[in-house]
Amino acid sequence: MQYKTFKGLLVSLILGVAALLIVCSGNDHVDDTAATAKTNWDREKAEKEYRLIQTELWLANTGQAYLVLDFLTHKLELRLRATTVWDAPMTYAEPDSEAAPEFAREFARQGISPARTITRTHLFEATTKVPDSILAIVAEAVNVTPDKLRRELPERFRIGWGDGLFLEIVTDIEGRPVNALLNSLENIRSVVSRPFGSTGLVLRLDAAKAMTLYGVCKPGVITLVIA
Amino acid sequence: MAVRRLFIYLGIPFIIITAVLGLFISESYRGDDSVAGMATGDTVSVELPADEKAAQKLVKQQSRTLAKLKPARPYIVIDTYSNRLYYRDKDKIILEAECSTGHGAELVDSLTGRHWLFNTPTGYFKVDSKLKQPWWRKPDWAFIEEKEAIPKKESERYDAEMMGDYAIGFGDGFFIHGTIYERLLGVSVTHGCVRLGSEDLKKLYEKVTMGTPIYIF
Repeated sequence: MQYKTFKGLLVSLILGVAALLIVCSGNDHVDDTAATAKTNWDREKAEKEYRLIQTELWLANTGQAYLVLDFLTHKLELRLRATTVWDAPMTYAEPDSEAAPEFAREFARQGISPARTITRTHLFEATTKVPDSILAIVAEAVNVTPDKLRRELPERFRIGWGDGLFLEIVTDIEGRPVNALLNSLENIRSVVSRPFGSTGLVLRLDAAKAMTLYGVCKPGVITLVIA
Repeated sequence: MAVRRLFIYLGIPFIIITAVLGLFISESYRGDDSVAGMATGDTVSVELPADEKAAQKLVKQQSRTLAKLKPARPYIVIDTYSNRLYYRDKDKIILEAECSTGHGAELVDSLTGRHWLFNTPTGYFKVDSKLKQPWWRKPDWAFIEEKEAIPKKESERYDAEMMGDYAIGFGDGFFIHGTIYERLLGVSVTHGCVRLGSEDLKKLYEKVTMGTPIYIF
């Protein structure tokens, strides 16, 4: 009986140790996998963050204002030396849930930098902040041409970055077409380029905010996308 | 003859329309080289070290460098296109006011060939002086613009009214100051300085201190 009991205990002990080893080895395996996944995820995130920081540091050192499209906070910002100098909420004029992520994806598709240069802008309709008749009097008094003093309050304008990427801004004011022929050509361009993969986003903005954005966003201004 | 007419009436417009459309499409699809050049060139390195700890340390270090650029105190923002001045603290706007900035025209002295460009400078500055009841020392261009002779006596250059009650200095001799032409606020009519209405100027003067950051765009 004693021998049988000892044998039973020994078998139980061996089985217990084996089970413990299996469980432990299993846990080790799980931990390794988790650690690998964690490292990979962190590195990918860190690379993206580093790229963004490096680009913004470069932009900050240019001393010029740059546009930031932040799809995480849904804000449009103008920054100078990494500091916000103007901001507005991104209010989508068209309720297409896929438009914003698609725009952000396309923006970052080429190249390793999350930044692009504005290649063109087009003002469709606008009204002047100060009537031309008053501007003419003021311009004569200060001895400049009225063009130097004119500021456009846009009803609708478009910012383009090439590769069919554009952002259209619409406001609530009623303006006049700035140039009917160029507006028609711009509309034709938009329709024709759509099958080639044009990606646009339409945002609604307060008119005063839009005036600043239109005034700053000229070809050559750099845009940073955070997504 | 019929074929020739057909070519003139249909062929030529077709060629022109195709060329114009082609031009527009190609312009739409022209990407930007400059920023790609910036990111891949010498100026910016986007490579992280292979070692994880070194990479994380570098990201933290660069993040701190970027954060240090942002002001830790309220700052002035001047929007030269819309002619508006803001005194803000991060996302909070403490003061918003209509102002006037430089008109951007050029003045050339026909006698000496000297020329001046009347722009408000853009970029980052700091408040470097605060003056009460400032006097304006008229520079040469003020006389040339008015087609007046440049005075020989220094005392004839001073004007006690033009700058209002306060002046906040920045950059290379520029000021945020008052004006006797308050009706022109909101229009770019100055020679580079920033004009504010008397009430807003008083409020701003009381809030800012020496070293307050100024961002002009």
